[in-house]
Amino acid sequence: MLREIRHLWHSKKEIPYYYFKYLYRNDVKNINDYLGTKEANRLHQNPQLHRSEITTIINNKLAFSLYAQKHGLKTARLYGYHFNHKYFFNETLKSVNTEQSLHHFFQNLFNTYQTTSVFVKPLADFGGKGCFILRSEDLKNQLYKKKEALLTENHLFYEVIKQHPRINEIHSHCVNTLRIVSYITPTGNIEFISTFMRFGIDNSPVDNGSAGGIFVYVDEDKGTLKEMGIKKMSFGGEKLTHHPNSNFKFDGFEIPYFKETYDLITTYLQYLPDRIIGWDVAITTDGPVIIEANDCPNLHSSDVMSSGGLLRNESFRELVTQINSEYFNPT
Amino acid sequence: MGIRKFRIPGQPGRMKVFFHDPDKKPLLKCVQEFVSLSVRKKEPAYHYFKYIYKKQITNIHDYLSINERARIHSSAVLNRYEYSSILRNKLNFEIYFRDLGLRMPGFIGYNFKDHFYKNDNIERITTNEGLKKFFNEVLLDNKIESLFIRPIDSRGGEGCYKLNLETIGTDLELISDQIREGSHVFTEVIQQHKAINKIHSSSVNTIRLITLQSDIAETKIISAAIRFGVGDGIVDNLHSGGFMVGINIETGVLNKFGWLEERTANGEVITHHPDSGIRLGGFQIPYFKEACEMVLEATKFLPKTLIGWDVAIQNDGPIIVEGNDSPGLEVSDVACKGLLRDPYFKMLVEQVNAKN
Repeated sequence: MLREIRHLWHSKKEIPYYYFKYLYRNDVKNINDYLGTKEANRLHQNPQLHRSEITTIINNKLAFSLYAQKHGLKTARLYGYHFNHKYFFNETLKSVNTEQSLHHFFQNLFNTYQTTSVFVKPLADFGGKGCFILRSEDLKNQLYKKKEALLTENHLFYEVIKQHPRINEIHSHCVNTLRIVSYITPTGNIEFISTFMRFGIDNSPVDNGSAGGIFVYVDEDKGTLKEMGIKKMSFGGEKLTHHPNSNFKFDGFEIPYFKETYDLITTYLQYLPDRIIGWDVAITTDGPVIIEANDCPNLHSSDVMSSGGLLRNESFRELVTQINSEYFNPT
Repeated sequence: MGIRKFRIPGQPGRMKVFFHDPDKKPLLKCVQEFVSLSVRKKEPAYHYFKYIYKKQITNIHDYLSINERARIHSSAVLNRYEYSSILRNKLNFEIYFRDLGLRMPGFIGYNFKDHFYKNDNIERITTNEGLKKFFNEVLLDNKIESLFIRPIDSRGGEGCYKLNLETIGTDLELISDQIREGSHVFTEVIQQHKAINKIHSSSVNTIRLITLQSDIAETKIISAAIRFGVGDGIVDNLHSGGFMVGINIETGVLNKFGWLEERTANGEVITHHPDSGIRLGGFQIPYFKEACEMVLEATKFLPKTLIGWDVAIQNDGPIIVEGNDSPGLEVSDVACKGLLRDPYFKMLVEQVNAKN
């Protein structure tokens, strides 16, 4: 380990703290194929890779939903949204200041869309933070607990996604998404440099790693889950071969609509041609839908879950080499 | 020992202008006011030498200092990303507000570098010939003679172009590379009100209205000014050479003097448009009341504390050109004779100062 740390320190020109997140493990042989922390930061900040006119669409979840809807791109259906006490739904604006008017608003929403639940997502937060489902049953009680957030912050209200039944067999308490990182090369080719699947656990409404979710490796050629899943280090870094709640074995599970997922992202990239994007995709009974896009995806997770390090991809390695060279030898 | 040249940072020659300006207050009074402001604002009151030293300014404490302006622009509370990103990105602005029924210029299409979008079609255009064909089709399909091209994410009027069907070849020769290297929205050209055209017709001369929203008071307009282009420039922004005249918010009538960064740096004020010679003071802005009502209505859909709305006046009424998440406050300060005269804005600035 000491030899490897010393080697990385020298080659990456940074203290390799990230080594202790994953690379120290026995099964990691190719430590040079993983990004350093500063390398990842340089990628996030590089103006060649991210244009603000696109990232301001991607990063604003409301703008993203409206943009996708405008172009007929498959995404979660947006019912409405609110800014503080101003509620927007069905082309009308209402001022909602009390628990009673909150109750009335959501009853109206449920009736209009003939649904019994709505997925509530904060406009600005990431990592699944602050998301919850509101159901028509026992609505009063739920609103009592959430009223402060719903009257003072900003949220979007989405249709609850009807997850594919095969994925529900693994875990049905939340939508379990694919995280796919796309990269557009200098010649305009699209490459998918990392694909993995996330599963929530217990009653968490989201599958994010930061909420205790499990990341499972994906065989990109076969479109199946691989043998192993892992939890984030902050949740113990446990390795799992089965889902802890359903005991469903990951290995060999065929992900429905897997090829269609890449096709969907390719279509999206024509409308949002940012060079590195992390896509969150849900698989429904009708096919894939994009839940959200991230201009600053957690490259460490993608690195670990890319089955051997992002730098194994030749085009991506060329990019990182170029960016490092520009950084260490500025003209 | 000679007199040292005193230059305010970023304002070379400003002191020279001050000393030679016949409109300034007596020197001793200037010194007293400078000291008083510096103590009150807890910073050297360099902003004094831009305008506040002039005889007609009696309420010196009602103007924002340089640091106060900077704090407002950098305040995370006043500039929440979820609101700013809708205003700053003109495509986001178009999609969001168009659906809410806001009156805006006709939207034709946009591009992200070599990806061009119109009518739900996408084309990758990598040659000047391809670009000419694209815009030719756009103009003919929409039955319009000209098009306005604006960067999706920029300020100050930079990078704006007008494309005419008649001269499309020569127009594009000059700007093709810039268009394909950047990202732009394409909209119909605004047909400006004839009364405003009499003053200046080469550019659309927009009104900048600053709205203030808060939880404790009704949303209001705290500053109004009209910007005029000069010469053949197609935009009116100060950064692009235009000048500003304050508007009386109650009446919609122009103030007597205009403010042009370049010329007032020499101490001059503008009373007539330099091209048409038309007197500015007393001019009634057509549909001013309607313009104010329109932006106040628009603020209901985006509860950002401070927004700078750019409104154009057509023959049949006002039209919103864009919203600015971080409007230049210096100009608005002068236009309304001191933003801190508004008690709620003053409270807001005190809160921002206290957090600092």
